[in-house]
Amino acid sequence: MKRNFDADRPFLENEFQQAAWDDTTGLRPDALKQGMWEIVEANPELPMILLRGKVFSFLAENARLALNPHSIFSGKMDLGVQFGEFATQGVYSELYSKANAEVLKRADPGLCAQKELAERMGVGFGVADFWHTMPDWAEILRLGFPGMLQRLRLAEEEKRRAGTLTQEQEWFYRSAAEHVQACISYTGRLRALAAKNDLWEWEACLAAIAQGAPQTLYQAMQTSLIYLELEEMGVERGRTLGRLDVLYAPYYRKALAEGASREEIKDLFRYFFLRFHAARRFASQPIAIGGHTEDGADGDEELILLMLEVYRELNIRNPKIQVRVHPGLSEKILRFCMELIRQGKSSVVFLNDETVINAYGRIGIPREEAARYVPFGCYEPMLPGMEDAMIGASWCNMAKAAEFAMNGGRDPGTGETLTCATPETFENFEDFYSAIKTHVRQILRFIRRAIAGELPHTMEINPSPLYSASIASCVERGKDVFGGGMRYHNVSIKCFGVATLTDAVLAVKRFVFEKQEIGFEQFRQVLAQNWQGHEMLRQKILNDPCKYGNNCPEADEIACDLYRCIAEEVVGKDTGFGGKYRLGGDSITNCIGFAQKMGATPDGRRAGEPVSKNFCPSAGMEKNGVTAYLESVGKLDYADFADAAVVDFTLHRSAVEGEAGLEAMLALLRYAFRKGVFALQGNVLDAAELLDARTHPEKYRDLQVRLCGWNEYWIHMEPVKQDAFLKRLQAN
Amino acid sequence: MGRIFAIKRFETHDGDGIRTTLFLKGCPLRCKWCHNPEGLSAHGQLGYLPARCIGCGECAAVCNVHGMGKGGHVFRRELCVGCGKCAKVCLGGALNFYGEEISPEDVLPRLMEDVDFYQESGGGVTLSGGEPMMQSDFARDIFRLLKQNGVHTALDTSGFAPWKEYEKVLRWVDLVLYDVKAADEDVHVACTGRSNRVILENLRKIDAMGKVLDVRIPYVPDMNDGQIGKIGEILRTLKSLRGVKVLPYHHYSTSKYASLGIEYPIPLVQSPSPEAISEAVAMLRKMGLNATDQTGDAPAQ
Repeated sequence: MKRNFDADRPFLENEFQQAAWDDTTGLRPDALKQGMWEIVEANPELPMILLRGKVFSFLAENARLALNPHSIFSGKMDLGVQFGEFATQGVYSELYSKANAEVLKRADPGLCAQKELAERMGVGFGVADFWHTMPDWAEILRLGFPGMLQRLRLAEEEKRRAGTLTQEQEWFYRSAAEHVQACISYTGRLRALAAKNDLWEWEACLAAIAQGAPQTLYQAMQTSLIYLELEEMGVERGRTLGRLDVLYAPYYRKALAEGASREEIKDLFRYFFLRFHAARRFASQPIAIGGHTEDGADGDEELILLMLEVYRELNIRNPKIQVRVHPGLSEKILRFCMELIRQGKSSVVFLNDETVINAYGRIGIPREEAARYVPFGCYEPMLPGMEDAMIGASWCNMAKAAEFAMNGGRDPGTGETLTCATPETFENFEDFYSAIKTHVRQILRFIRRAIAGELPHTMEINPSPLYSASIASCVERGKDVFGGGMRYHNVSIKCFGVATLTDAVLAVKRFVFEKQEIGFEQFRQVLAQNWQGHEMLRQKILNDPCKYGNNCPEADEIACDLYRCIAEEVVGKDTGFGGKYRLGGDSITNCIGFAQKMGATPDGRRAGEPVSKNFCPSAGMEKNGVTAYLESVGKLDYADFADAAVVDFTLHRSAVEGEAGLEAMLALLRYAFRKGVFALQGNVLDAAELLDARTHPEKYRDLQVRLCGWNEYWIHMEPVKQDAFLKRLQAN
Repeated sequence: MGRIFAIKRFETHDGDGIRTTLFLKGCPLRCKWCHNPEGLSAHGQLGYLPARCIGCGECAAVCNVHGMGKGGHVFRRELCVGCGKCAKVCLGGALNFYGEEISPEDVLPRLMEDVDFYQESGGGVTLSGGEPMMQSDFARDIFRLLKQNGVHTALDTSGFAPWKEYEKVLRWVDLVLYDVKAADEDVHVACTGRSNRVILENLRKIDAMGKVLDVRIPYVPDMNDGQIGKIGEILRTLKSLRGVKVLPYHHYSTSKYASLGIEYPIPLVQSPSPEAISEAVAMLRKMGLNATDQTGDAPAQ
């Protein structure tokens, strides 16, 4: 069938917001919700894993559908998701929310209360993360839905014959089979819709994948989309489509061999990528490229370049691109990706293969396994089919240690103590610094306790049989991903605000103990008053040149020492649930949200202002430019950060114009990765343009910025996020 | 000892690779479009940006040319001797001192901070100004120290200096960035206040030495834009010329003039259009020259 993507595109951009739901195909969300809760109420004693099987099938088989004849991936189901700037969650996620609240309160009400307190203080949180998943795409594509179903049945049968099948395993197989069967049923429903509307190309594609593994690129894409749509009916999010340069390469090569033109293949990717853009997926859908295959070869370079060309042409931020960089990666690919960033299409992150693999080594994972990692989420690595790492389990605001140490261990906002009491005042810097590190350790121990309190209850809260059905070891063991099915059940703890903490420590060191411009207790009062009446002192502190991120040896040494202290409390510690803790150093937007609950800190930060993001200097403190910044961050030991450690660069557009500018950007990347930096992402922007966009948003609809591990359209960002972003950009 | 007014890191258009550019004080020319007015005088100067003043009064405590009146900070520029003490204590960044005195040995570590980036990118250090040849001994000593440390060196010069000054430094210089502002002497005098005779003589001498030479032509509408072809005729006779960049005039420096209390010389001149720059580049390329725009890229034909 001849398609015209350009003509179709206007009908694709908003196809989720403006979906034409067909009431003849199934139930509306309110009726669906009612039906779901009727099933729940009718089965009060049913284990959660079986309950989910029943509910999942009911939803997949009864939700009403919509059709968009302009798409080649035309159908979708209505679970009541609202597609605004970002998509909300649908009715199925309510099952998780209810179970989560009830189970945890019942299990340990004291811990729940403490966790609420930690969140109120802006310290952070520690939970079991069910939403960052990495289905084993290679297996899904190898088997297709019928093959997945057959694999489950064979595994169950084998155990039954051997007489080793436990009740829990039986429940797992039954529920997982119901989930996969629901995928097949849903595919059948879409197929019927296609036939009803004479969309025969789509119908044939659906017919094929209802019966077996995908054989063509189109079928592989459609399989991925259906799996993702169904896995994400609940809170799970398939936070990568996998390494497309490897996964889709055989289909791509086959299509070429069968005579498809490059342009025809590009057209498939146009429709495929735009689907994610249109779905307004929160934090964007990652796709990974680069790195080695298992036999040591690179992925398909030609396919990578084709995908990148489509991506550049579409000028979208979603999906986002994660690049595994190793010394053998094609220069052409690297340049292409860097050029995307320079052009403002900056939804790209580079991961340093060597560092990632070394970091895995530090938590006991052998090199040959670590080399199989796939970036997912924002920039986190995970081992497909082998590891679930709960990358969203915890974010910890380390700047809070400064507040605690300044106040005898109390949180000045609530007056309560979460960690421990420390002295009310200090005679020397060493004692003060010791108190800082005590609070850093205590915060992390609390967070580990909070996570450990949830891990034994994951199967009561949110077993994930469809995700598990994609994982060979889960099928073999008859266990859910969240019930011991994976080889590695690691958990990630992310720590941010360290630059703010470093600058706060330095401010006390220099202004209280060295220059003696203010006494410790008086300084505490100044902070309690949020610097009111002490602006001169604040300015002196802010203008003190020794700040983290400027290649100041004193500041950098403190930052390195604090990160070492953090790493000692996290890296490789046993979760008590078959895994290790991984350390991350990124904040996403928590550096804004958590900091709003904090008082003023000694570094000159006012109450409520953001704390430092990722590995960035405190906002406005990056005064010596990008090279000094990279020299500072290059001193850290990134092998401690098996979870993620992204370094952000920001460059003014005029600084990197022309071929020389692109070469300079590539040199920054090479320098950073030679220093062992884990991951690198960046923005090339002009602050004047961002300011103009505030007053003339209509001129800047497509202006995107790299915010965290994803991009946002500038004009849709909240003012508080815009302010934080501008502050750093202008200092730069 | 020498006198400098800025050190800029991560410069990507002042020579090859990632560079640090050291700006030396003092210039014999008075180009009407000069975008570094703080480099013109050979002496220390104070720049004052009232919008950044937070009224802390620290400057008044160290120097009596500053005072705190009812309306806030008062600066009596006419009394300022350019010592720079006030800028050191200014909390808001409103006072900037241009003219730090420093020895080559002391400035070297600051120039070496990005040495890893030079190595990674094939970059190095550029001396600019002002006119670095106004402080040729200082420039020579810095270049020599850089070369002893294996750093690529570039001299950004107007060409207006006695040849003996160039003879001092050129053996330590890998790349010369050479400004040619006009071919006709009368136009040059009108634009810069000086004849271009010595500039063109020095250009030929440097060329004869075989130094890698990049010529930069500022393109200023209604001032020297009619000179491009004639400049091209001169440049095509050179043997060591690597490239020619046409740099569009811009007026980003107006706030610097204001901060120095200097009237901006050409407030009515507009920046040239990208098309005008492309045409100039195309004209030079037709003459067989390796001409590019300011980014180093040749416009599409």
